[in-house]
Amino acid sequence: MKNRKIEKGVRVAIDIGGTFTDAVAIKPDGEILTAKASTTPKNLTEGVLNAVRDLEIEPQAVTSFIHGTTAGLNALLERRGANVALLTTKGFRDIYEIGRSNRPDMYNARYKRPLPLVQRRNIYEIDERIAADGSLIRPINSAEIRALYQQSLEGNYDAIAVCLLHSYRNSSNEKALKEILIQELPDIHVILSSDVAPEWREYERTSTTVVSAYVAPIVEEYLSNLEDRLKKEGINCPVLVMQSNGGVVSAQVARHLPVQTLLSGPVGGTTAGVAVEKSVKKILEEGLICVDMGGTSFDVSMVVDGAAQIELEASLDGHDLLFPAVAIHTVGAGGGSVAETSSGGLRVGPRSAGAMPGPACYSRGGNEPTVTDANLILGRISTEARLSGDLQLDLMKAKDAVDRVGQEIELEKTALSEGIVRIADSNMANAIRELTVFRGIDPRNYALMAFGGAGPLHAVALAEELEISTVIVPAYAGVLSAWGMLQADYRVDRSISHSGILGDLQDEFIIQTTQMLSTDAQTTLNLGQMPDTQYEEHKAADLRYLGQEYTLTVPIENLNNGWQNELRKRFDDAYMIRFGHCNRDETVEIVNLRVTVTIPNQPISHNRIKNESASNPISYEKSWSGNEWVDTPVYQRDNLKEDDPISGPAMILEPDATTYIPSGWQLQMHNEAHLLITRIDS
Amino acid sequence: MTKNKENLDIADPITVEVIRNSFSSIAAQMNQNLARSAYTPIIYEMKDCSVAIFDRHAQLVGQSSGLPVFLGTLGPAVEAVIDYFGTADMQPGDIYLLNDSYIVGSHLNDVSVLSPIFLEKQIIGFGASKAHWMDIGAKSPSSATDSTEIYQEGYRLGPTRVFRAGEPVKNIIDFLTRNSRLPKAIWGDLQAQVAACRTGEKEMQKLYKRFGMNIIDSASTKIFEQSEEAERAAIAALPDGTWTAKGNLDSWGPGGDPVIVETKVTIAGEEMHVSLEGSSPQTPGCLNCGLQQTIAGVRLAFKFVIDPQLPVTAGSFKNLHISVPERSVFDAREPAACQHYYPHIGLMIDLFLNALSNAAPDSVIAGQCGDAMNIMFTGKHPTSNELFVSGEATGVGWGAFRGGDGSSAMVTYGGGDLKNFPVEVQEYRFPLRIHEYRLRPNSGGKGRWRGGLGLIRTYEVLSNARLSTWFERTQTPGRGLLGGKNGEPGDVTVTNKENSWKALKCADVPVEAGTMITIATGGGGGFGPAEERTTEAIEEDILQGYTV
Repeated sequence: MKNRKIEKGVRVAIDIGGTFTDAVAIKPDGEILTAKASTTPKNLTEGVLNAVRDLEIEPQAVTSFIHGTTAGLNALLERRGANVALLTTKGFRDIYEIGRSNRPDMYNARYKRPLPLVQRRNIYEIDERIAADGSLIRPINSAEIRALYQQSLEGNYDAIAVCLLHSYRNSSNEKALKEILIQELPDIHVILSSDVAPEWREYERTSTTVVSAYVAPIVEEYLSNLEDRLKKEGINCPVLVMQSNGGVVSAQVARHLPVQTLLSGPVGGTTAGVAVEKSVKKILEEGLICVDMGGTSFDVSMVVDGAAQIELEASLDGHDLLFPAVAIHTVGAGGGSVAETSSGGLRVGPRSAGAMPGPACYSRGGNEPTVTDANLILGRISTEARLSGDLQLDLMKAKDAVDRVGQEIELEKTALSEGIVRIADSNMANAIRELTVFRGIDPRNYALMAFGGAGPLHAVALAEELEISTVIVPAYAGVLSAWGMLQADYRVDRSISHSGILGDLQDEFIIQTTQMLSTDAQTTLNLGQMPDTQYEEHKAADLRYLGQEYTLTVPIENLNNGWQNELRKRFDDAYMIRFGHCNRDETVEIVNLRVTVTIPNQPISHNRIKNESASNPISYEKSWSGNEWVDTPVYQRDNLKEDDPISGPAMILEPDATTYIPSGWQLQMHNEAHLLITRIDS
Repeated sequence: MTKNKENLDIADPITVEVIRNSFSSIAAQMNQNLARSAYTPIIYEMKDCSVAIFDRHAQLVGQSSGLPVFLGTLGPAVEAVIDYFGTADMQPGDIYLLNDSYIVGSHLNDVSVLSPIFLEKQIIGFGASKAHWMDIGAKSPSSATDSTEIYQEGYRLGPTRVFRAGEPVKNIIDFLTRNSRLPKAIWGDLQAQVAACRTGEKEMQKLYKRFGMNIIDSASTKIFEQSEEAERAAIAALPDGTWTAKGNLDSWGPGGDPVIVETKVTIAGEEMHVSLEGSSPQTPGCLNCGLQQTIAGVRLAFKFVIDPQLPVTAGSFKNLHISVPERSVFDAREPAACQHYYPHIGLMIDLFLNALSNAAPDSVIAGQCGDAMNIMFTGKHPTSNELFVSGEATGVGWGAFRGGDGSSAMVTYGGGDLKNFPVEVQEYRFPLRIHEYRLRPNSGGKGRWRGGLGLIRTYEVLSNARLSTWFERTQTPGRGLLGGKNGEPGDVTVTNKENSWKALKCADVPVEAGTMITIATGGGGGFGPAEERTTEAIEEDILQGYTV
């Protein structure tokens, strides 16, 4: 190896999961390498480096290193974040603790809000005020700030979050405050709400700023450490970080916007969906519904018009956040969902047996029947399957567990197993319906992309429930998030609050403002010395009918003559799709201007070793299909041949998942190694 | 296979569960559509709404509430429309509405909108929603808090057809909008409610096509049985006995007499009986409600204790028996005004939990001041010169319970997911400046576990306006339980250049620019003797500034 010429241009992506850290690399010739290492929760960097080493590539060859980091999210979920002080406008110390006063768990008399990340004693009031129109009522008094820092702040905190009233409109007081603070406390993070989330509604903005400050030092330390270690390994290229919005930025930018890294890991699957959508576009009607089903939860996201669906607000573990993030809807349904009787009826989930004790068939002490047990009894998981690496499944234990519940409601175990799976499928389908109806989307026009340990098993049944006719089980399903990240575009979002009436907006002002946002975004992208590339710029406006509060984000195609009329029409149309009615005579108000700047990533050209021999089953197993036991061929995914369709029932094995194809459906191997499963027209 | 398969019209347990979940999901889809497409903030931001679906016998199969106090109030609306029009005269695409307090319960602003759902020319069910309309032509903008007869509270509609076969009935729509100070909002919110009905129709049709009427009927019967069985088992687990709790509201309105509420709870085997005998007669003011609202309130109280997570269906509450004195504040009749339909319901829920603490001390919580603590400003906006109405309900301190301090500054029992008004939105929209919005230290009742804190919010009116307030329960504040102390009652102070006065309840009082109004809401009751509170908890309260 030593004397071989190093061929530059290898791209590497790393995704940290709960159990494994996945690595994917693509060489300039299109060859794809994958590796897995155990996740090292105490020091995530170790697992990352182990996975990279397992790829067996020359470090100097790596020219792009993309990372989905869970450092921030873990710190938030495990409450190991920074020690944060919050500064508020005088009179508003309790905005953060009061929140919105609501009780989402409305029939629970003992409902309690999640514990705040900043306790009341660490919240300080500043005597300043901006009015609702942005005018300055009271400026910052520097003597007050100095006194505060001497008495309370100095030495006590890792980060300071600042959220002052109406700063989304006029940030001068927040900026002045920061100026004084960084003179006095140069070493600590000062996070301004006007930087993090310049949008109105003080509680949500405060919460976003606090979360940002809470994770900032952790993300900073993690990324610095990772960069150092990679350098020592000989990987000198800039580290890129996956953001919640589905795009990547340099680690340097990520440090400034740590809150944007929170969903860095989970969005990888949807990013892969974007890549898959491109490669199968020809056969798609509208877009993709991506479902990730694991042991305890079921995540749904969508790819529409070639892009991941983004939402401008998110809630993470009870913390409200204002930032653009890939919309991921989580439902309590998974392989570990427990089936039990209640008042003579049968329930499946949301309670899960989790990984411990897990389904009865795991032989880890669980004796309640789960969805996985039911699938095993029905022969939809091959007895050859080894879950989580080497776990052998115990069919007898599954049968015993199902029988116990069956006796309570007088159902034989096969019928009950089929029922358990049906209820789980229907719950998942309902969740998808609620999500799509809410957005005015008809799922029938979408294809379903399924991944995660249990996704490929249920995908076709879900498609049947939703009247979807195409199911995709993507290539590299075992390392899907990392594979998706390899193909993510560089992306920075910028927004500014701007109120006015559509039709009366001054073109010159809008042009200048969007130009400013765009320049700012480009500068940010360039912080990591990006190679010379073409920027793509997307403008959009958050619009609403006058008097309403929620907005729809509508793309602005251009700012040519008549753009306001054009935008108006598109808003009405979008409103019609989303809500089933619109008001073409009503005044439309603009609330925010948004600019997204992206640098498209180079597309991956796969160089797959193709199987020339016909797809042959490795074995036949009995599976329950259409009310009878049927001999079902079992295939290894690696052995499948293109253009060699397989009709259901059939099972496809791969290391971490089984794809089940019932009768009436047909599998076709796509030329980029995705499994395409379509309904056979009768 | 199983004996169930012998009869094709009987749903097996699997199908029952699939259908049960589908009903809940359809209601959830309707609610999402309503909340997102509504015109006024009170619906989409404050969730002052509720949706439900019914089978063709008007039996509730699925519901989704924004406000828990609307639990199950849409059934009577559906029944009233069927009684009035008859199903024979209904057509696909019809929409009906009504708001009569004596039929559907709450105040006239809450308008129930519903549609029959057809499949192949046959009615298979009904979709319904209820939402708060901002102005329905009451004697003062938005609502009249000093009304003495229902005729002053806006238009009162019995069953009314607003869409016929998909087409708006023009003269009715014209009537609704012409008699409102906010016609656009009326039309916008009606359309949102219609959209919710349409979502329900579409999804119910799919479900019935898939399973057929007989299977769904069979499944519904089973679903109702399951709800009933669960609730019977829960009551049977409680000790038998009769317990009474009594309290009073300060007044039925500015200058009015106190209103007595008496709640007697009896448990006998698997049945519960709640009697409100002894409560005040209907009041001469607008603090009253129709019987249906009372029933919904008692059900909510029941739900707080009995199987809170179980979905509500027509099989729920079969073992809950309610007796209400006729022409009382809980069963008002014409011409009683009903604008403030909630204060006595809130007190009743508090007293219910108090009475039940004898049977199940660990399942209940201590008292709260149980009212929405409303404050409203109206006037002409100085820049647009148009009418503005800023109304909001504010949070209160909740009662403590075994194992936990009460929650602070949270909406009352009836409020659920109702959200507060962001300061930045309120200041942007209205000529108001908020000077403080904070927790109210020391307001929670002392106890082994401390009551939650109320809040303080101070407003300055920036131009001449009118003020209406409705603050309650200074005489029966959030009660302590099992030795815990009561929470502090609420307070409202108005201060201008010349003087300062209390305004717990006032209606349409002129306030000139520069006037400051400070509201303080009540704290929750404590639980267990204060002497038993741990030193750490006491020190923590001082450190955080919850007590000073």
